[in-house]
Amino acid sequence: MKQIILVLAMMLTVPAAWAMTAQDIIERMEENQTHSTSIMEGRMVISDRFGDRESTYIAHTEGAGRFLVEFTSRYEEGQRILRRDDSLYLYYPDARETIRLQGAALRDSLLGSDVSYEDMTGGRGILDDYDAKLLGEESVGGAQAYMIELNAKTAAVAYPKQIIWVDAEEFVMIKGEQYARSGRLLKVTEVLETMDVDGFRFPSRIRVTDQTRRSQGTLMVVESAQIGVDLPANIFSLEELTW
Amino acid sequence: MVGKRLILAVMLLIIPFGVYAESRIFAELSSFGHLLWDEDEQWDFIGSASGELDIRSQPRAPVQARLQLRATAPITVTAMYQQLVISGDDIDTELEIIGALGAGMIEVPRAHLRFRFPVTDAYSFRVTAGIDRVTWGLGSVLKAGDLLFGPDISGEHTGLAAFDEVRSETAMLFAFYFPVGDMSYTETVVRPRSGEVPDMGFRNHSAFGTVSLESAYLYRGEDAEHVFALSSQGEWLGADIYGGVSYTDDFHSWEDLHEGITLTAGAFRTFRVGFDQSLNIRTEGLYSFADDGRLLLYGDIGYIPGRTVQLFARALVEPADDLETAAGTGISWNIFQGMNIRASAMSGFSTSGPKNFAVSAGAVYSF
Repeated sequence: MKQIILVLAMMLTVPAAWAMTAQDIIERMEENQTHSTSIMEGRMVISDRFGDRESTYIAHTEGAGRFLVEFTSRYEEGQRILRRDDSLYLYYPDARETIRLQGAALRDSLLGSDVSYEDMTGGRGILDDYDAKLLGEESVGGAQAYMIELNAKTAAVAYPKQIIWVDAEEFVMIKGEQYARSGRLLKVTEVLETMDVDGFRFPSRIRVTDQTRRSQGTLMVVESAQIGVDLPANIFSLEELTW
Repeated sequence: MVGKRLILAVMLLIIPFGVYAESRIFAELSSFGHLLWDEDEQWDFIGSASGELDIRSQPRAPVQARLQLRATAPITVTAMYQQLVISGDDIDTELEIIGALGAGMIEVPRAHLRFRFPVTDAYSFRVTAGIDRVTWGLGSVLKAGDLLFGPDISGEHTGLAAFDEVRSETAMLFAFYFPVGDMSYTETVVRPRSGEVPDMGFRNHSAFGTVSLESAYLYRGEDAEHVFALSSQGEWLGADIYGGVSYTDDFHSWEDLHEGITLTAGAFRTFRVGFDQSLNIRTEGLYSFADDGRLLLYGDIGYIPGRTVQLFARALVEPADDLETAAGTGISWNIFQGMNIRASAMSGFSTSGPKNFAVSAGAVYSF
């Protein structure tokens, strides 16, 4: 009798969890994090032993491929980054110059932080660049999470291997580890808070710590978010980038 | 005298602008010491201090304005070290110290007004009037497409050692910007020149796929010349590849057409060093067919070992002219937000020997 109950319990519960593949989980997570349109205001705090450097920004997004961020903090005011698919354009107001970044330059550090231009602006979906494998489930900070290993399909990504933990209920990433090809741990990404806006749950307070140097890391905070808003028709254009 | 004028100028500017809370005032102070040596084999040690005041209107507004003032006190104390004198067994060093306040200089690098008004629901027509920067062409230092400020930086080699951009020219101009779709625009520029026919021209810039393309035309009033240019940028093996060609002609003579041609090409690539360091390498070349040909080569290397430290080295070489070279190297440490400590060395030399040498160190603080 006990065996039957155990088998039934396993049939009812375990398959519900294990029926999802790594691809399903990532797609659910990206649905949460990819919005038809959004406007987000946030700040980035870079810390080291000499103190903090804070930059604030306002970001406009459309789907996964279009992104315009404008820095609003004093030292970077007016600098903008436009991403359209695989091309990224930087605008420096002092020089009145637009610089197009492609290829390896996308992996350059953003304002000296632990975040690259590619990290900041997203662009391609995870499954475009990585093979995903579900390693299992484990508890992270009290939340049950799927543990997924990502192995790069191409050399044109910042990290050859990543392990991410995705909240099993909310389908939001709560932790990530980024590795070098040698297997050395490069960065640890911790999601400290999440935000729910119009049914979309996404990370709103993220700390990225570079494991290869004595840094206290980079804190990315989303202060406010609007999802599904009407954006100006040409906001992802060279004209808006340079105004 | 300079100080009084500067204070007066600042007061006159700040008082009215203070009324408008949306205007912002930025300031930057820099202080450097320079050890200089020149062809006369004379060493100088000078100090320089400069301040910059930048008043800007609200960004993103339909009307934008900017006024930038730069005051420089170029020499505060001069110590002139004469050469070591060796006479028989006696070694003597003559040292003369001169205390002097050099003539100050006030510049206005920017004073302009920009505004735009809608043409359709999606696009606006934009006007810039005043002293501003306009960057034409694709590339960094050597670019045939820069019809307004020239394809190279001859005569401004001192900029190589500075941490600021090599090209930072501004000019009085009137610019009219018309977007043509999301990733394309046309810009018309009129650049007045005192006592001369103004320079007038336009460019069309487009980006599609991984390629950017820019075509341009300029009429140079001073020389009554017509200049045409075509520039392109693409990506290959993870590197930015770019190049351009320009053609200058006064259409008075149909001989030696090739003398008006200038070609430039360049490449830029970022490499990851170790796990988190980066190395940027840029190489550029220019060939002008004028005056039996002229070749210029430029290269820079930037190494970023950490989040706050940058090292660089740059060189501009003219191989056919005794390998005349201007080279600079330096380090910058962004120790606190807004503050950089910098040190650099630069030299001008050729096959006939060194011409000058300078070592500079100091700090820049923006607040």
